[in-house]
Amino acid sequence: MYKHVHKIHHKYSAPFGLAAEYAHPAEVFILGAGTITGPILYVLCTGNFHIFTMHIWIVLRLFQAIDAHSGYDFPWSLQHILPFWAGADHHDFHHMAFVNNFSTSFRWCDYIMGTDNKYHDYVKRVKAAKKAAKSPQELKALEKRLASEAGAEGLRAEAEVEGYGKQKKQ
Amino acid sequence: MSLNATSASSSIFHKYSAQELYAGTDFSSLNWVERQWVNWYLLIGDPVIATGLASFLLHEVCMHLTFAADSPHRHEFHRLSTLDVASLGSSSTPSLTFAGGSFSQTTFLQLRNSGSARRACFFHISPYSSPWYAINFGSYSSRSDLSLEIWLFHPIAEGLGMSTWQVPFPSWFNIALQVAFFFVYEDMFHFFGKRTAFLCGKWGSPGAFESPPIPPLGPHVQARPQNSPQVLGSLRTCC
Repeated sequence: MYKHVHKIHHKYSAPFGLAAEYAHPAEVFILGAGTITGPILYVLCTGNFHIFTMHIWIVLRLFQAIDAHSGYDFPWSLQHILPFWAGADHHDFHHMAFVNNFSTSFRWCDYIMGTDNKYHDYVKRVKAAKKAAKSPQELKALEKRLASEAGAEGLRAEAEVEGYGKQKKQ
Repeated sequence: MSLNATSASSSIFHKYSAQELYAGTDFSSLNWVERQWVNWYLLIGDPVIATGLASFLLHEVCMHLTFAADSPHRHEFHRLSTLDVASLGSSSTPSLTFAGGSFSQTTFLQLRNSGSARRACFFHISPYSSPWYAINFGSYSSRSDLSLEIWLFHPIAEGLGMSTWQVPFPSWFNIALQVAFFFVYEDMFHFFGKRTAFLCGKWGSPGAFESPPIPPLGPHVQARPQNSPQVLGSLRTCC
């Protein structure tokens, strides 16, 4: 499942804005279902829904996707105003480490289900590195090492999940 | 036009007029956005095309804004400025280096440089991994999917009971409430979807959670049967 579908989206382990649009058709369908079944369920339940709301929703959703995949965590990014908003910082780790941060817009699902433990470890280590580093060059090297460690761990987990598929075929 | 106005409304060439679509609507009570909405439906003259085209254009404009914001060159500059190019270990990485701005260095999160060139650097490895591939793929998939959507969106929306050409819009408070609900719903949908896919990969194969295979018997174990022929014999009969 992962190997043939979500992996296309994960080809860009360092995601950029467009990676949000770059995915397997089946994934567009499944994850897109999350985007459109909300309005569909709402209109079926209430019968009171304007397509203009749908347009607002799609535009905001696109901004969210671009923000989450852009790789830029600006000081004015929404996550600094709304602490439960995921943002680039959160979703970037999903692409880097693969096993954490499964949700899209908010942090609470991963927080409640405990699937952000590796992300919090990483943030903690980066913070410690910032304190320990004596020069900007040293900090850069430390950050790079931490990121590559988390990335390597992600590669291992990715290979493991792909390996399950291979085992199955044999 | 006069012919269209008098012909049956079921004709595909029929252009809907303000009297047909917006009879009894007080235009002076509408806000600016709602007036533009009315103008759009009257300009196109056919709610099916108007809704479909609006949805399609909205998606295209958003996509191309994304392209503009994510010009591959801009990403190359940032990537080259934040990563140590020499350490990428790829012969196809360009020899160009750019002195990155300090701001981009502090805000750019993707400071990864793992052993794998695929993960470290997505451009200049092959045409397949260049950002242009994603752009072509994205615009191709949008065109093939959304041309259908143009024609189907309005009938589907009406069939589900959505308002399309109608004005006025719901109140901004209601719109905000509904959009907030969609965000929460979608977030949970994606969380449990990805989680399930991940766990299916984990649980879907036999033996994924079983203990690792037992290693071959060491010399001290193999030596045992030689010392005790009865054990060896019983092992042979049962295997």
